[in-house]
Amino acid sequence: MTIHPIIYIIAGFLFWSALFLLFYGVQATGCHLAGDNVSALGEHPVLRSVLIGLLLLSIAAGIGPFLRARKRRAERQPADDTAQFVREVGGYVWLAAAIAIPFSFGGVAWLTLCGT
Amino acid sequence: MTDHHEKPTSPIALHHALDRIWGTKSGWGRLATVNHNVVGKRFMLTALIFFAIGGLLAMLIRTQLASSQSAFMDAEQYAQVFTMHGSVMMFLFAIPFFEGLTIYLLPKLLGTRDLAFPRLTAYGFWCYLFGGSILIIALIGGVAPNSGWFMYTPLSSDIYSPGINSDVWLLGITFVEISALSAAIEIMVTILKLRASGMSLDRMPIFAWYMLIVATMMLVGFPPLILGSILLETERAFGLPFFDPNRGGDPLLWQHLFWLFGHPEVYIIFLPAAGAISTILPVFAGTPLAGYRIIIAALVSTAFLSFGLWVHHMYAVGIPHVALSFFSAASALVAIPTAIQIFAWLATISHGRPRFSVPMLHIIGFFFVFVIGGLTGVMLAMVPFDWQAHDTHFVVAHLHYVLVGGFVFPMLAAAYYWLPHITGRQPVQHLSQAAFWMIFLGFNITFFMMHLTGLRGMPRRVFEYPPESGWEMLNFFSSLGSFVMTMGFALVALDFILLFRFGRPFRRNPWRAGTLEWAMPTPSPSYNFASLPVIDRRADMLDPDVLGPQLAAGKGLLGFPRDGRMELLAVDIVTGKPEHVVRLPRQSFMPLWTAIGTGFFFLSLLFKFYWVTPFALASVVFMFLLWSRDTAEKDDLGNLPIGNGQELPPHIEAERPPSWWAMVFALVADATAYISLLFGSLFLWISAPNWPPQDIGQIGLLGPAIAAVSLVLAAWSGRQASAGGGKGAVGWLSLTTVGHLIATTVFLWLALTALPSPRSHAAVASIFVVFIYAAMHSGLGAVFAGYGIWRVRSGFVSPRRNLDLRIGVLWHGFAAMVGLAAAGFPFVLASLTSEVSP
Repeated sequence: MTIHPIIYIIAGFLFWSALFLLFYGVQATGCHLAGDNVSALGEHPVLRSVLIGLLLLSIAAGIGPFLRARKRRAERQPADDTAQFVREVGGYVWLAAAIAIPFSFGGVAWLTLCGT
Repeated sequence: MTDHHEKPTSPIALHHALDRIWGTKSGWGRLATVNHNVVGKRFMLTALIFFAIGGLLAMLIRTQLASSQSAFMDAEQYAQVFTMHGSVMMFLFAIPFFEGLTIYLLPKLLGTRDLAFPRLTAYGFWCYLFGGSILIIALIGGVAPNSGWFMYTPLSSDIYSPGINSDVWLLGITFVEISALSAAIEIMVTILKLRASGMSLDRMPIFAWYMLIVATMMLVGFPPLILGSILLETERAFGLPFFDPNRGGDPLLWQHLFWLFGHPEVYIIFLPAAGAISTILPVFAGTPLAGYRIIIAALVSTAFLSFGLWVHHMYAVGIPHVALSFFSAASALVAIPTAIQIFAWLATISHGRPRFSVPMLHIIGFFFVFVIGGLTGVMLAMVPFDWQAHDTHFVVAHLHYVLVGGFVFPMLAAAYYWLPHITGRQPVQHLSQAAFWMIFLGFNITFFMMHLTGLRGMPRRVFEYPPESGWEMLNFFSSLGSFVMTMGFALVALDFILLFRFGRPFRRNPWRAGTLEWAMPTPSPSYNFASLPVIDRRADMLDPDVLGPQLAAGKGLLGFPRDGRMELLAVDIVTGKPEHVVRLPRQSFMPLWTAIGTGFFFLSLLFKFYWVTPFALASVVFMFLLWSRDTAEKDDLGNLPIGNGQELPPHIEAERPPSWWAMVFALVADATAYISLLFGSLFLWISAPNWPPQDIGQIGLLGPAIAAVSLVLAAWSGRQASAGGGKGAVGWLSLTTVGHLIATTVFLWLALTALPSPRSHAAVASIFVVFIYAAMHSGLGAVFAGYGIWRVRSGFVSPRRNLDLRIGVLWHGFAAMVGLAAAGFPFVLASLTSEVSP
C-alpha cells in the first residue's frame, strides 16, 4: 500500500504525537494505580522501567525508518519533482521528530515520576 | 442543458457575462451574497471594528492602572473590562481578521474563482457577527463575562458567577467558533482541491501551505474548547458536576480542555501572519523565498509541537515533574521551527536587494518585537522560571510581545501590501511612517515596562495596587506608551481613509510580485479570473503582467459562462491535474436565515427558554436541508468541456469531490470532540477527588447491545444503498433509518432511566453525556438516511450521481463508531472505578 504524500509529510510528528499521548497516559495511569504507595516507595522501579523501555523502543522506532528511508533515497531517484518534494519535506519532518523524541521524553530516566 | 456555453467575443463581453453570474445583487440582495470577495472584506471590516472595541477596553485598563488605588473603575467593572479585552482581541479580532484575509485572498493565490463552499463562508460570517454582537451587547448592558478570557473554573462556575456573565462567554464564543470551524473546513478543502491546473503540492504558494496547516490546527484545536464550553454550560445550567471537586469533577479538566485549544491558538494566530510575511518579504527583497521546503517542514513541526505544550500554562497547578518535562521540552523545541522561518526570512533579505517600503517597515518591527516575545517565551517554558513569574505582568508582557509582534505588525504589513489590491489605489504614504513609529515606540514603552513590574511581583488582573509597591512609575510610563500606541493606530486608520479617498490608481501589480492575485484587474472582479490559469512553475515565480491579460482574454480554462452557473475546476490533491468541474450553488439568503436560526438556538440557551431550544435546533437542521435544493441535478451530465479541447465530469459525478472531503474533515473535528470527552472522563478517574462514585448505576448488556447492533446494521445498509447507486436504495436507506432510530431511542432511554441522577457525580454525568452524544449522532444519521430516501425518490440519484449517498455513508459509519464506543463506555468506567481504583 502506498502512503498518501500528505500523510508521508506529517508521518514523523504523527508518530511523535502518538508517543506523547502514550508517555503521558502511562505516567499518569501508573501513578494513579500506584496510589498512596507511590510516595512510600519513592522511586517506583516498575513504572520507571516501563517508561525507560518505552523510551528506548521509541528512539529505535524513530531512527530506524529514517535510516531505511535514507538508504532507499540513495538507491532510487524519485519519479518527478513532486515526489522529490514530498520525500525531502517528509524526511526533514521525520528527522526533527526523531530528534525530538529523546529530548521530549528523556526525563523519564531521572525525574520524579509522581511527585509534584 | 450543460452544453449551453458560448464563448464571448471579447474580454469585455466575457467580463459582463461572468459578472452577471458572480456579482453581488443590489439592495437587499447584498444580504444574499456569498462571494468570497465581499464576505472576506466584511470579515476584515467587522474584525477591525471589534479591534477598535478591544483597543478602547485596553485604554480603560491602562487608565485604571496608571496610578495606584485608582477610583476610575471598581473591581467588578475592571473584571468585565479585562475579560472582554482578552476575549474580543483573541476570538473576535485576531482569528477572524486573518480568516477574512484568507477568504479574500486564497482563491486568488490558488488561481480559482471562489472558495469551495461559498454559502458556508457567508453562514460563518453571520455566525461571527451575531455571536460577537451578543458579547458586545452584554458589555453595554453591564453583564459581560468577568472571569478572565480563559474562564477558569470554579471562578466561572455558578457558585462564584451566578449571573449570565459566564453564560454569555460560553455560548457567545461557541457561536463564534462555528465560523472558525466552517472556515477551517472551507480553507482545507479549497487548498487541497481547488487549485489552478498544474499547481502540484510543490508549486503551491507558500501562503497556501501556511493556511493549510493553520486550518488543520483549527479543525483539531477548536473542538476541545467547544466541548469544554458545553460541559461547563451543562454544569452551570443543569448541575452536571464536571468541574466540581465535591462531586468527582475537577477544575483542572477545564484548564486542560481550554489550553489544549489555547496554546495552538497562539500559533493559529501567528502562522497566517507569518504566511503573509513569507509572501510579502520576497517581493520586497526582489528574490524568491529562501528555504521553501524546509519552511514547510518547520510549519508541520510547529503545528504538532504546539499541541504538545498546553500544560506550560499550568506549571503551577501541581503536575508531576516528569510530566512537566514533556511539556517543557516541547515548549523549548517549538522555538526551533519558528527560528528556521526567521532565518529563512533573513536569508531571503540577504540574497536580494531589499526595498524598504512601508510594508517592509512593519516587517522589521515584527522581527524586533516578536524575537523578544519568543525569547521571553523560552524563559517561561522553563519550569523554575515560570514558577516565579506565573500570573505576573511578566506573562502579560510576553504574550503581548508575541501576539502584537507576531500578529499586529504583520497584519499592518499585509494591509499596506494588499490594500492596493482591494481598493485599486496605492497609498500616498505621508502618514504611514509616522504611524509606524508611534505604534512601535508606544508598544515597546507600554509592554517593556510590564516585564519589570512583573519581575517586581505585580500580579495580573488586580484593579489596584498599593502606592508603596514601587510599581506606580513603571505603570504610569506603561499607560503613557499605550496612549502613544493608540494615536499611532488612529493615524493608520486615517492613512487608510486617505488611501481610499486620494490613493493613486495603478494599472497592475504595483509591487512587481510573482503571485497570481496580481494577475487580475484591481479592485478584483467578482469572479477573479475570466479564465483559469495553468501553472508550470512554483506559484510565487509567475509573471502576472503577462499572465493577467491572457486570462482576461479567456485563454485559460473555463473561460466562458455555462447555464448561468458559477463553475470552478477541482484538481488532484498531489499533482494538481484537473479532475472535475465544480458547479457551485447560486447566491441565496439561506446562510443568513440559517445563522438567524442558529442565533435563536443560542439565545434560547442563554435566556434559559429551554422549550424553544429543540424547535430552534430543528429549524436549523431543516434550513440546512433546504440548502441542498440548489445542488441537485435530475440527469447525468456526462463530461463537460472546460476549454482547450479538454472535458471533465461535474463534481456530483466525481468520486471524491470537495463536499466528500468536507464531510471527512467535519468528522475529524467531531471525532476530536468525542475523544476529548472520553479522555476527559478518564482524566477525572485518574485525577479528580471523591472517586470512585458511590453509585454509577446498573446498566444491563441488553440495551447497549441492541444499540450497537442497530448502528452496525445502519452503517452496513447505508453502504449497500450507496453501492447499488440508487437501485434498491430506498429499501436499504429505510433499514438505515430504522437502525438509527432504534439506537437513538435506546441511548436516550439509557441516559434518562438507567442511570442515577447525572448531578450526583461526574462519572454518571460523563456516561450521561456520552449517551446523549451518541443519541444525537444516531438521530442525525436517521435524518441523513431520510434525506437520502427523498433524494432517490426525487430522481436526484443515479449510479453516476450518488454523491449524497456516499456522504451519508461517511456519517453512518462514524455514528456507528460513536455508538459502539458509547455502548462500551459505562462498562469500561465501571470496571475501572470498581476494580482498579486504589
